[in-house]
Amino acid sequence: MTDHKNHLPSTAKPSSIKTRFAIKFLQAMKKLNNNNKNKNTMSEKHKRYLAIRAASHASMASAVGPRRAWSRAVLRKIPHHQKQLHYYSLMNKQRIRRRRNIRRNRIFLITRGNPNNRENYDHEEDEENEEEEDLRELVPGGKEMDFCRLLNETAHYIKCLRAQVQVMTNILDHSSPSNFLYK
Amino acid sequence: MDKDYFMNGGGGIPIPWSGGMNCTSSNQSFIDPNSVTSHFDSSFSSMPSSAAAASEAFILRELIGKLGGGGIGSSIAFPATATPFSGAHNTTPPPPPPPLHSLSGDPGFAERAAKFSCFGSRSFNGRTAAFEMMNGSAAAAPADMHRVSSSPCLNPPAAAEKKISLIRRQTQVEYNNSNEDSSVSEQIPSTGETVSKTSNELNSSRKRKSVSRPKDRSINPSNKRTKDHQNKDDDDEDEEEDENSKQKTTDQKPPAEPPKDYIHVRARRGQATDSHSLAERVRREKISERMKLLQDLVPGCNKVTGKALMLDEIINYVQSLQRQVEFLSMKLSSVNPGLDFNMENLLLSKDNMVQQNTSVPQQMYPLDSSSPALFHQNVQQLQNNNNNNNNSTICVEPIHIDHATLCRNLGIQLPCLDRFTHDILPQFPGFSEDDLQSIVQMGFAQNPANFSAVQNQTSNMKVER
Repeated sequence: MTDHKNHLPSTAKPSSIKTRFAIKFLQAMKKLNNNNKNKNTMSEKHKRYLAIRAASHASMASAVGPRRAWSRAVLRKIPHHQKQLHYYSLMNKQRIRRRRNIRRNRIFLITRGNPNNRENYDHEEDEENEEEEDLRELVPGGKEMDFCRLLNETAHYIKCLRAQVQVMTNILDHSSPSNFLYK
Repeated sequence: MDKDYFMNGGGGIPIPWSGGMNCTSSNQSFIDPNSVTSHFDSSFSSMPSSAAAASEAFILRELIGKLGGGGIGSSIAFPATATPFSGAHNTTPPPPPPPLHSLSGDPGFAERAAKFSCFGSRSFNGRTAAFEMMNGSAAAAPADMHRVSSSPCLNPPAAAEKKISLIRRQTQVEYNNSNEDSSVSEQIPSTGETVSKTSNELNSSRKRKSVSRPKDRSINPSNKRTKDHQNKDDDDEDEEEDENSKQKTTDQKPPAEPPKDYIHVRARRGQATDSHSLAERVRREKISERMKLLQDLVPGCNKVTGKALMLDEIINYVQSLQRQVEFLSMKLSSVNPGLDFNMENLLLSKDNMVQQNTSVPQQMYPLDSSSPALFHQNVQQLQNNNNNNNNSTICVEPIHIDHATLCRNLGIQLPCLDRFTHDILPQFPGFSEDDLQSIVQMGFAQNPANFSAVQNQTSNMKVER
């Protein structure tokens, strides 16, 4: 197949997060479908579900790029064999290089911006710690950020999640109506 | 001549007080700082510390009169009444005499009193300094006041302190036009050393400086004015700092620019409060900014105020979005894999449909709070649908309502399916068995004919486990 990336229709928004995500996700889905054994067993379905979920997270993170801490955290989590499954192979080398640098920065960030260094602050800060911890668990890569950064990342993460949901519902709507034809 | 009188007056004073003082030796001792201080320390400490203000006034007038007249005969008044000017650094400060207020009314008297208090201080080098002031000071009265007030000899017990502070206040007002409500006694010239917060420490620091100061003065009489001037300014700053530090105002501290020599003083003492509070303030402002941004992002957050509640809302929203993604991916996985994902068509229609679908996630979000009972009802509905249709997929719309509930249920029961997935995708949380079965019943099975087969499969899975 030709590289669909270059075949954007004229009405598509050029390189918004949504389009980038949509492209990557659809490519991943294609590959998954091509690899599918078509067994329709429960385990297969479950695998497919998990694979698609992983694909959605990964393609969202790659659409965002390594600019954001949460996207970097997601990209780090993906095992290497999965990356190829999700259309990372072309971008792998660049990303590995970038991620090496980012890992170096990350260590620096950990020592500098560690939330454990907040001993000097008042007791008022302790009151919001529970929700903070919850938020840190939710947002990928949130455990190593200070609170301000965490809020920034949360805002961006919410935006991207919303975009993800919209694109996936779109895809679903477009893929399923074709089935209605067979009523 | 005046000098002699002054010295004699000084010599005359201690004689009746302490037997250990010789006139001759005292003359010399006036010049020598160390001996003077030592002598007068002892003499002063021996004196009873309490004195009435009226007696002070009397002393002042007497002495000044005598000094002007050139006679020392009236030094009789001194022994009983010169005590307030004793170097009370060894004694407890005497209680502030009430008639002090009357003293401050007369500026001329204040001037004289300042000079005299300088005279009566612990270190008699102060006296020499005061004398020098008196010498050169006919025309430059304010300058005198300035010098006097900043002189180190004004290192008195608290009683005299108040007077001096009153005097200083006047001089400060007229000299520096400062607006501050000056604190009582903290107008001490600082030589760049750290000025401690408590008044006791200030007293001790004053005393320290008073010892060192006269040396400077004796060396550089010409530069005294400028130095005092500087010190005045620094006094202001330090005073301000003192006030602020004493009152511990962390919020509205006016960060006046200190003179360059004293930046380190400010930084050192203010570090505990200034930079910390400033940094905290900056941090809080940052956080509130971002919370506002998040408020705009998260729907339904306008009514909520306060960090904790906002954070709760944000957490709920993020969780719901994540569950939506999971559910959609589940649905996508159930879609017939034979479908061709035609990129161009999808993108085209996606762009067209974007606006339409923006409402969907927001619909789904508030539905998260719906009860699980709905879920089971809809499951049965869908089972019926499946039985009725041989269609491979369910009609999409009714499921939209269920998505939220399913999402919620899935979200709640997610953790335990690791045993099923450990070989495949270890990093993702698993499903519980119940959820798997419910999903199956929801119609993820492609064919209703295989429904039983699927159920057998699940039971087999159970056994395998």
